[in-house]
Amino acid sequence: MDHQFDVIRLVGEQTDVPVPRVRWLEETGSVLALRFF
Amino acid sequence: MDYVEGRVAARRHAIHVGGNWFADAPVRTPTRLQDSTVEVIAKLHSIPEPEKTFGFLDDGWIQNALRRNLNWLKSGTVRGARIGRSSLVERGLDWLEAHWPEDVPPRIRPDLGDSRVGNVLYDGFRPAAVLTGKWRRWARREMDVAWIHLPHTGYSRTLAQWQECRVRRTSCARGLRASTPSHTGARWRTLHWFYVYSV
Repeated sequence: MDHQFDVIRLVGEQTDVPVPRVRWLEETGSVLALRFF
Repeated sequence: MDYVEGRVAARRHAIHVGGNWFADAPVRTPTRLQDSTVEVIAKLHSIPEPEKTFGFLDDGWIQNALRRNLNWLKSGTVRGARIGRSSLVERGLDWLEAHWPEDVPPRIRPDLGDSRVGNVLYDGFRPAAVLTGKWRRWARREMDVAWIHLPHTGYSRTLAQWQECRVRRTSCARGLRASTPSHTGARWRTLHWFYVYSV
């Protein structure tokens, strides 16, 4: 999950390829019982 | 992750057969979609120093990623549990070993995988968002190009046998073949090996 988050973030930062903006990575599972971003 | 407005193409066979926005679009528009999608792949492949940029994906196999990919194909999981033993598959694996592509620098980078068009959200016929979350393994960049060509080539050839097949569908693979080298610099002699691998 953290790898997916970082890949999308880096592609957005380093290219003009349109990617969804990623904001936060929630890794504890305390919000949705699953990790998500 | 922010919401992005857009639409997805039908799965690979349906985008050629019809009954969806891609297949039923005016003649030239799917070609624009193909070109713009190949352009996206080329831009992803152009990220400098991917070994450093995406170093967190390195599991120790970056420089031997293709060998690992082929080892995976040859593994008992694929040959046995998934499709069973096949003399055709065995011959194909032998051919891949015998024709190992050593003629170009490896240019390893994260592999977009077999998602191709299906991993892109479109605004009209332009990419609105690309989901790169499947980038988890490393591969030579020819792998992505082969993945996007292969289904087009196979399906367009099949559909070309039907009278109702429209010209743009039969030109699909030709168009991709023409546009990909200019976008990606991929060499066709080498791509053949990746076609066989993808099959």
